[in-house]
Order: sequence, then C-alpha cells, then structure tokens
Amino acid sequence: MHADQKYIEALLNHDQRLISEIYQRFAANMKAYLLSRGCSEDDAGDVFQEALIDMYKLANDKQFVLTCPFEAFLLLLCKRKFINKTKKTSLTVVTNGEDDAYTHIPGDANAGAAEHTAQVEKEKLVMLVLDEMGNCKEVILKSLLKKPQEEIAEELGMTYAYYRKRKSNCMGELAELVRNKPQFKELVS
Amino acid sequence: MTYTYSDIDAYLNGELNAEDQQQFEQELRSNTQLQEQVNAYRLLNSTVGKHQQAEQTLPELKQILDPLTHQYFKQQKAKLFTMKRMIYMLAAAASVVLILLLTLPGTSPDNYSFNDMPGAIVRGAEDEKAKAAQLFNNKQYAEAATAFTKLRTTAPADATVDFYLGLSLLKTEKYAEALPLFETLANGSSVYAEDANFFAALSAYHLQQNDKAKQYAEKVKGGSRYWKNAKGVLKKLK
Repeated sequence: MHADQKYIEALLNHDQRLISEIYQRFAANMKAYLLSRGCSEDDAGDVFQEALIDMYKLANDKQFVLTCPFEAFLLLLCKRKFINKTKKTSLTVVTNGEDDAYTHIPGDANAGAAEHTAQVEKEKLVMLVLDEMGNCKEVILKSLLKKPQEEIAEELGMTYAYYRKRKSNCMGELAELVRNKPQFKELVS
Repeated sequence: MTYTYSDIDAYLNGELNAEDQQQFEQELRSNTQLQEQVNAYRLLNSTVGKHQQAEQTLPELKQILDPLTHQYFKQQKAKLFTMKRMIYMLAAAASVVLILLLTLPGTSPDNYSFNDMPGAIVRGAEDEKAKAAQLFNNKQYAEAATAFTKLRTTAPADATVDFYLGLSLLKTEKYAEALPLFETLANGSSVYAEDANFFAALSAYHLQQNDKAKQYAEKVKGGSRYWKNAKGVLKKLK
C-alpha cells in the first residue's frame, strides 16, 4: 500500500482538511498540464473533480489499495478524461512538449497507475452498459438494495420466483453485453 | 451439465441444497466457461453495488469538492457580444446604476452570500456536527451558533466548525465574538483563510475597529468572491 492511500481514505471519509490538501498539492500542476494541452480552465476543473469522483467510486467498497503515488493515478485519469472530452467535442489536443510538470513522478509508478485507471474504465463501462438496459437496470439496482428480496419483488410488481429469475437473467445479459463490448476486450487484453 | 444464470445466482447466494451445491462446485472446478461466468456475475454484483452506494453519498462529497474546484480552477467567463447588443446592455446597465445611485445609500458590505455547510446528512443520534450543519443550512443561526459552540468544547479543532460558527455569529450580529474566530482563520492555512479575511473585515467594521477592518479588507484578493464586498467595506471607511 502506498503512503498516499490517505488521500483515498480522505475522499471516502469526506475529510475536508485532507481533500483541501489534495487541491493544494496537485491542482496547480494538473491545471498547468491540462492548459498546456489546450484545455480551458473550466474544463480543467471539471476533469480534475471528475477524476477525484472516479477514485471515490472505485474505492467505495473500501477494498481498493493504492499501489502508486496518488499524483500518478490522478494524472493518468485526468489525461484519459481530457482525451475523451476532446473526442466528444471539437477540441484538439496540443501534443507538443513533454510532461514537464511531472518529471518528479518515478517511471515505475506508471504501471500501478495504468492498472488502477484500467479498473476505473472497466467499471465505468459496466455502468454505461447498465444505463442502457431499461427495465433490467431497475431490477438489478433494486436487487442490490439492502432490504429483503421479497419486498423488492413486491415493489417491482413481480412474484418472488419471477423476480429471482428476472434478476439473474438481467445479470447474465449485462455480463454478455459487457463482454461483447470492443472497449472491454481492449481493457482486458 | 449446463448451468443457467439462475443457478449461478442461487449458488452465490448459498441457496442450493447440499447435493446441488456439491455438483455445482465439481463442475466449477473443471469448467472454465462456468468459472468465467461465476466470476463475471460476482464482479458485476460488487461493481454495481459499489457504484450505487457511492452515488448515494456523492452529493455530500461534492459539497466539499465544488468550492475547492471553483477556488483552484474556475475563472469568470468572458462572453463575446456584438457591438449593437453591447450598446443596449451598457445603456440598460447605466440606467440601473443611475436608479441605484438615486435610491440607495451605497452597496452594503453585508450583502454577501456563502455556501451551505457541507456534511449536513445526519447518520445517527451522535452526529452533532451534521445536526449543527443542518441548523445553519436552515438559517436557524442562533441555534446553529449554540450547537457549534458546544461542538468546539467537545470535538477536536475544526476549521469548518469555526468558519460556520463565525457566520452564525455574524448573522446574529454578535460581531465581537465573530471577529477573533475569523482573525484566527484568516491567519491560518485552512481552506477558509481567504474568505475569512473579508468576514474579519466585516466584523471589525461593525465594531467600528476601522484600522483592523481596513487591514483585512485590503487582504481580499481580486479573484475572491468577496472582493466587491471588501471594496464596499473600504468605501464605507473612507
């Protein structure tokens, strides 16, 4: 576990002091980097905040262990987010120059950061696929609520037996849909 | 034997009878496809559950992130206008200014805004800070001040509590009690240091400690949300 795990815990615990420290330590460099790539100040703020939220979601089951410097993980997440943003809009990425602001990040940190980022992207893909599943989305989300399954079946207007069958079929459908996504194959290859 | 997702669900929930479970596990040991399916099912369950849980508490985190992102990244947006539109807007703005100058004594430094206090979600009977935050966010400033004061005696030092206690005291016109709180914050390194300069200036202004009011108002930087209010304080002091 890397010493910067404290920042992950800070996000999970909504620790205002340490979260402020995250901004104090990392925002200026990240902003400079993103602006140098053609990002606006507003977009840089959104990218930075969304990256922190991605970390929060990834670590929400309290199982996540950070194996690289927090800054390396944050940088890679911000880079990917900015590139995705440019794909959705007419923005172009300025590609000249090196990552001058980040020469202090050791090279071996990149492997850990890449692994964490791939996990974020896999989970994001799952949630995106789920979002497009209509009634199955409702069944799956409700099934994971911490209340009796019989009660959930009743809320959904289904018999308990039918609800159980529907739930497992929906999960199976989700698994197949995710597995067949080209992006998923890229992420696991 | 072919297993369905219903069987996998029943297996993972421990709902198979002993014989079926034994058969399932035997198949699982040798059938790589079934292994993949079980792993995927388990992984999807935990991923979706985790994200769903995160979504429920995300608004609370955003209350902390939003002001920080604004402070470190955002700038006022400059908009492009056509010349004709600009002239109309200038004329309209000039009229408004003229009306205000004729009808109002001047911009009041007391006309300021602030964010709701983060962490106002009460999770249990012991969550006194969240209760105090709720009182503040409901604009029950006198009650909030009492709750924050009590918290300061029972909990470790917390800049957020001090800042919102200061605001509660300002709102109830207890300037003499608010001033030392904002002075400490303004001279500290918390996220509230910048904003505390203005509120220290405002408290000192109301206490007619003009030199101190000027000193803190002049510390408010151009990019601060309270820059105009600080200018208002300085104008009143002239």
